[in-house]
Amino acid sequence: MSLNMNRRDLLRAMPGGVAILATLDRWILDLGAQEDSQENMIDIRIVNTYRIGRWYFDPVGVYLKPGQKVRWICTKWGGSVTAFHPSHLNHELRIPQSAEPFDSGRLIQGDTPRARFEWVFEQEGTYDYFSRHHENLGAVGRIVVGSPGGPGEKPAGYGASEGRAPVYEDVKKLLSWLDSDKILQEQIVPYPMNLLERTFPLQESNF
Amino acid sequence: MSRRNFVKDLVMTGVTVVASSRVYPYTHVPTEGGPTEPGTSDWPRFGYDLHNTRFNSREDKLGRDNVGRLQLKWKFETDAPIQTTPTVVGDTLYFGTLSGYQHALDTATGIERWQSFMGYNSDPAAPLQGVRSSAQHENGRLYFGTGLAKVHCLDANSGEELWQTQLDEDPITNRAQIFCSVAVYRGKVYVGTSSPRAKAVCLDAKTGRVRWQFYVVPDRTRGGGGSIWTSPAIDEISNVVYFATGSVRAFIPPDPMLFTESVIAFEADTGEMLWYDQVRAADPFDLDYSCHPMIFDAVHPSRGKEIRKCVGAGNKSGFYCFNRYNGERLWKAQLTSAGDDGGPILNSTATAYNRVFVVSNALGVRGRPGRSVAVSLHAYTGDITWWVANSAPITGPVAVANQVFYQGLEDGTLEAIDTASGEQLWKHQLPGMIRGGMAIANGHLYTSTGDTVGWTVQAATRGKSYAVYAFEPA
Repeated sequence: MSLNMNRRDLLRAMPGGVAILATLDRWILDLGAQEDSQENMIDIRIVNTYRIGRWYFDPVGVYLKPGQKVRWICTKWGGSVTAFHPSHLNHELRIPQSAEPFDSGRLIQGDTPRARFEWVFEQEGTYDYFSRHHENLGAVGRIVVGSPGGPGEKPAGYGASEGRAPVYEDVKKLLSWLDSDKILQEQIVPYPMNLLERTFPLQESNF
Repeated sequence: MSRRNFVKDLVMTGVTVVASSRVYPYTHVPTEGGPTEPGTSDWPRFGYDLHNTRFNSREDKLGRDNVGRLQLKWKFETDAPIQTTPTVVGDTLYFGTLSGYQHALDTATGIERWQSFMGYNSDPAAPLQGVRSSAQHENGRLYFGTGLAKVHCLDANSGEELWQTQLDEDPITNRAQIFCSVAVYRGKVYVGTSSPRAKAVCLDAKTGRVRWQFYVVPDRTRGGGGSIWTSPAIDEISNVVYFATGSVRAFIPPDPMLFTESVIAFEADTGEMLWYDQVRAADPFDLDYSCHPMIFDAVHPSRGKEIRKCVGAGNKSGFYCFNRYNGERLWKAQLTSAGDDGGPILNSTATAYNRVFVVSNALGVRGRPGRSVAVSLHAYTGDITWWVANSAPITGPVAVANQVFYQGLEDGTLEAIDTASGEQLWKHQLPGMIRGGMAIANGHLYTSTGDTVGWTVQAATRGKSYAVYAFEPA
């Protein structure tokens, strides 16, 4: 369904009358604003590549202006988009203090709304997020809104002293590579395919 | 029955322990009084026998001497891919299609006797659709599963449904389906589901009620995987059923996920686990067991009295052989590169004549198409006795009968090979990919064309036609 269609339909449905049309003006402006935000929306894919044993977000780092929207598209069953927040599996806080923690829940694959998740980032700062089932494979991403800042800028693993869940080595490695300056510079940072190494199980020594 | 009642029943019956009446060995009881009279060498289920050997030991008409004269006898066209092994009993052949139909054909003419629609979900989020589970013919009944995660029991003569059981209360969300073929044994139906929370299930063959079930991964909300892609094997002497499971889906489990990528042995009546062997834990490379467990007794190459009681299965990195009584690891053969499309895949194994026959895929590198090798291994040692390079990869079952090994490849090549030497005896080109393997029965070769591993039937069927083929020596 396109917003253009709605607007046209709406106008057609209205039985004339300048007063009514005047009140519609604001509506139309609002709809226009929504269209703009759709156009500025950034897509991030949740990808699985078995041959190299990876689950990851691509692009892994994204720069946004406040109020911009991100849409995640899950290409394989079971991904999630979950903010680093104590309410999510006791993870350390890695989004701005007063920002709402987002969590897509389990996403499925295919041409369905249940394979997608959208979030509008209003508050400036650094946001780190992960996929619940695939975090130990390095499935994390970072979004910088406006200017970087907040707990997301602390080194990964700082929450250990507060009793938060440990941070996986691959996550530490990826987040230290993906610093906010790089995101500011490049705006969109693709997933680094060669950063994390995973040994292919060619031989089982115990068999 | 409402969904709630169904789930309640599932829970209630899931813990039922059935008293075992030990009458061994189990023997196949042919149909009594029904119009379908058994032939001399039928192929009644996916794995031929309950040991899943895919070796028709009773076939004596089609063999090494006349396989070179095989000619097309008839073909039956359908509009949807066929990925089931033909079930042949007497003068009837049964097969399923990805559009959700089960068909019965006359083996003499290829004329259809009946077709029965099993349902189809057009939701694009639905998992693999249609009938990919090869039917087992048992006492005039036909048992198989569907992509809607249901097990069906039909009257084999009329196609009329006798019962159906839904094995997952929400197959779309849980992405649940039945891909594996059932094993029917002593009044029970053994089957596994493929889903992010897969389970091995035992049903009552008369009523379809669940007698016991075993979840491969611990917690539903975590979606840990462990899909059962292939048919269980049954050792009638010790009353044990063997399942092989697929790879893990969630890499941060709430509990240890011990049973993914495993061979698991259950007491057949009660579902009590006897042993399991997990080949790799939390493997992100998707090296499922996608080949059926096979039960065989392997004789030592020189000491004839030394016999190993084996169960073996192929996963996407190689073939693994165990002592079937205690799970001891005996040997492993990695023949090609391991990978999500590599190794022995989708039931490309058979066993006969103290050999294990494995077709193993090699991944395509830098855009080149993949290939495969057909290999004969000594069943006791795992040593290679012959080795043949194939023109294309395989994604379907193979078969052995009367000293001939049969394979069907992705490029449509249908081949007959001497089991002793690896020499090619016959070759035929089919217009499409062979996905359901073949059945050698009553002097004939029956096979079909399927398609790629498309996740939806729409993707798989685009602009193609498919058929069942019957070959007979001239």
